[in-house]
Amino acid sequence: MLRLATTSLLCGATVLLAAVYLYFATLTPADPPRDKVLDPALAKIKVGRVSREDGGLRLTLDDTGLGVLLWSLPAVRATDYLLLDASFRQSSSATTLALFWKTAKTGNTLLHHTLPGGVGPALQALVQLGEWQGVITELGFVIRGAPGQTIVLESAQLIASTPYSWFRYTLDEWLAPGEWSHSSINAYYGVGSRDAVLYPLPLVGALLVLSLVSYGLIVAVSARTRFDWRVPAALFVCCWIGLDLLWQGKLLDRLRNTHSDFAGLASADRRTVGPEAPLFAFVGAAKQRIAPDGTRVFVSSADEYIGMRGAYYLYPRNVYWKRNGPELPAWRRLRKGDYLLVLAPTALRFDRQQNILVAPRGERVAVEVETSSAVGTLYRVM
Amino acid sequence: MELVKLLLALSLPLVLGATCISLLTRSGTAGRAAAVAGNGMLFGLILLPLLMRLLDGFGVGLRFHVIVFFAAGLIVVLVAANSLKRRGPTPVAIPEPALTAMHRLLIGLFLVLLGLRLLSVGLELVWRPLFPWDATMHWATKARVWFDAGGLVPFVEESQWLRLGGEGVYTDHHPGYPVTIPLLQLWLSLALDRWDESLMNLPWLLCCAGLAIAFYGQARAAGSTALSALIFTYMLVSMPLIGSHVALAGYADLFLGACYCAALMAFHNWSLRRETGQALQALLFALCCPLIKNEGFFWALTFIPALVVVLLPLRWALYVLYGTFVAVVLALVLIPPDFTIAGHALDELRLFYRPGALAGVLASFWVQDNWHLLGYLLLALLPISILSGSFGRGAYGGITTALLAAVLLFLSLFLFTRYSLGALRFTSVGRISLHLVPGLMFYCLLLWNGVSARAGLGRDPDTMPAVGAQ
Repeated sequence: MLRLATTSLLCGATVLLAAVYLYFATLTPADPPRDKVLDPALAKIKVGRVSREDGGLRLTLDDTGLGVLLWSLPAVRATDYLLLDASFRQSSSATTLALFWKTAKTGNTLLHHTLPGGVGPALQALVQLGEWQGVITELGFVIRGAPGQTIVLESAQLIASTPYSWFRYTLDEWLAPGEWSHSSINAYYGVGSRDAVLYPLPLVGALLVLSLVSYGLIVAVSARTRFDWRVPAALFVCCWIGLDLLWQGKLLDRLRNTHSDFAGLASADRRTVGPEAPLFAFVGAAKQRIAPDGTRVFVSSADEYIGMRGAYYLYPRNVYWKRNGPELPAWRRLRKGDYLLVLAPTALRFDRQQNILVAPRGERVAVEVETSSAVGTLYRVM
Repeated sequence: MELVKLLLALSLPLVLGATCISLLTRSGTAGRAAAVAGNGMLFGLILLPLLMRLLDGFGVGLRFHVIVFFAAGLIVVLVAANSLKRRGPTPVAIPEPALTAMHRLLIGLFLVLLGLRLLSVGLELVWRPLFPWDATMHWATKARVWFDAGGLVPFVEESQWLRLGGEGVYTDHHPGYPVTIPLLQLWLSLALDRWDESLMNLPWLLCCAGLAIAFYGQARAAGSTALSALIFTYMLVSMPLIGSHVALAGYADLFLGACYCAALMAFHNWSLRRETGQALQALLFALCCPLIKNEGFFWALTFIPALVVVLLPLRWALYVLYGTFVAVVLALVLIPPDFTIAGHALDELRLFYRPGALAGVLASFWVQDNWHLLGYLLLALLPISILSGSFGRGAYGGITTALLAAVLLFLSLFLFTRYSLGALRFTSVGRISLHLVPGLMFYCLLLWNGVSARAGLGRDPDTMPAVGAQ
């Protein structure tokens, strides 16, 4: 039974790989070029200071924390290249990296795409960039970080569109660990980005079907082999486990990140790390100024997520925050002694001269500033 | 001391629920221990919040030792009832073939995979503070306020909160949602005597484990071999969205999926052997569904046509179902648009067909990896089961009707109402599927039981001994 199942699975996998190869071949140009190396020595530095070193190019960001590198390209056809493979090394994690390019058709207009994951090893599927079309005349990187920060470009190249590079891209998509996001509670796609060409589930489903067909052919052809339901069951379970191992691997990767971020911290301290730390800290400080006696607090923000999180951090105070509504309720509802926690971004405007908070519609209320930071301001209604 | 209280808080629902479920589970049933433990855990996670509401309603106050005291009293009563329970005739145990070395190896493998999964998502839960959107918008908000207040302060709609000036009331985005979930978070917080955004979500891990154990036990009671039951249990727990809802705990969907599945499993096993205990369990879990989320009301309704199919001859059953369908359509036409059912008014739903949403629903099952190969398994097993003659109405009529009704409701929600956006953007179709998927997995197990029995690999569910058989 095991031998039959293994043989069927191998036959199915072989047919599937061949089919996928043929499919990838239809996506590649008839005469694909070689990979194009973006030589650090030939990069032009538009913003920042540079020094050449063995194994790369060291870029120092300017006083505003900006650096720009670019290469002029001799009439590169976008469809010839599938992937951008770039490797950067940095001294700090708080950087963003964007790819920009110009085409013969768009002239001097800069087309751009922010690479997820910031500065580090980056494998970007160019096929996912809607504006990666036509003839590319210029290509570069924009790096934002701290003023004076140094980034080392170790290597960069455009990977030609070949069946092999498509396999590599697909595998990279399937194995991308990803991070927990707010959409994780709603869906698991199985790929790093939703623009991936091949999703694992339908492909494994195809593998299962081909394996079952192979088994069927073996039974039909071989007089000594009788149909055994355990073989299809084993094939199904193997395919399931294969898919699940991919997911388990991603779970372990994410667990490693979670451990790195939070393990060892007391519960009360876990909000002090991560991107929401400034919001949490500010709301915590604001909460100390609001008596826990049922005093009303209205949370206002033009950003739905920030308003929601700000409201949550304020509990157990008597919080009002409305989703899908104006930042504050009708202002006649406000009364003296109420608090207004206004979190950036906001459409409300504070008139310092008159100590008045003004709504976009023109409503006004007299307030006193209790505490303020870049995150927001706590007002008390007078 | 905190550890002791935490362990007590985690084990109390299990003991409370298991003593109750044990009363309803016949001795000698295959998989009894697992069914009692699993269903007990699930029921206990719902019963404990009910007890908390009762205590708060009587002005007793919500303190950990007080709740433990009353729960312990209830347990003592239930244990006494168990000891007095009349032991009816034991079902004849159908001898199973001895486990081979390969079977043991496979059992070990799947237990390891299960353990690894529960450990991975469990550690994620323990380390990560409350994360997902709705959890911080309208579930944990209540728990936070109630923990601070030491009682169940009322939550009202924003408009009412403004009218009352916020005096003695609180508000959040969904103040009218059932309170079972925030009460579970409150329970853990009371045990820890502090607000801990990670440990308060441990009930999600318990729910997943309880679902897995209950699934295994009820699968055995339905006639599965130990290996088949374990493999299907592994497939259930290994589905990515199930794990995600434990790792990113805070939503109610996993609990509702577990509760509805428990009701379905008990209903099916009742329809096989007409054991009163299984009927009561099905009723209990079906009635508990609306206590978790408003959608639970609609899932509970699916047992009505299922009962009709099980209890009536086929022709009468079809008449009744057809008449009910016509009545529902008439009701939709005739009832006032602002009439509210389970938190939803008819005019809010904006009923018309959204063709684009169908692609989203299909992608959710057959392109995205939310449920691994469950969609493909169902597509394969149904025709195989029908063509092989193992799909017998007597065995599957009830659960098929319940799940068919549920799937039709599910499709109606996403294809004909404003909630189609949840399928177009994949913002809710996965979560709502979670309510039905454990039940669908159990259904696949039943279909496999039938197919494998016909192939001589397992026990025939149609020949399961009736009650009293010797």
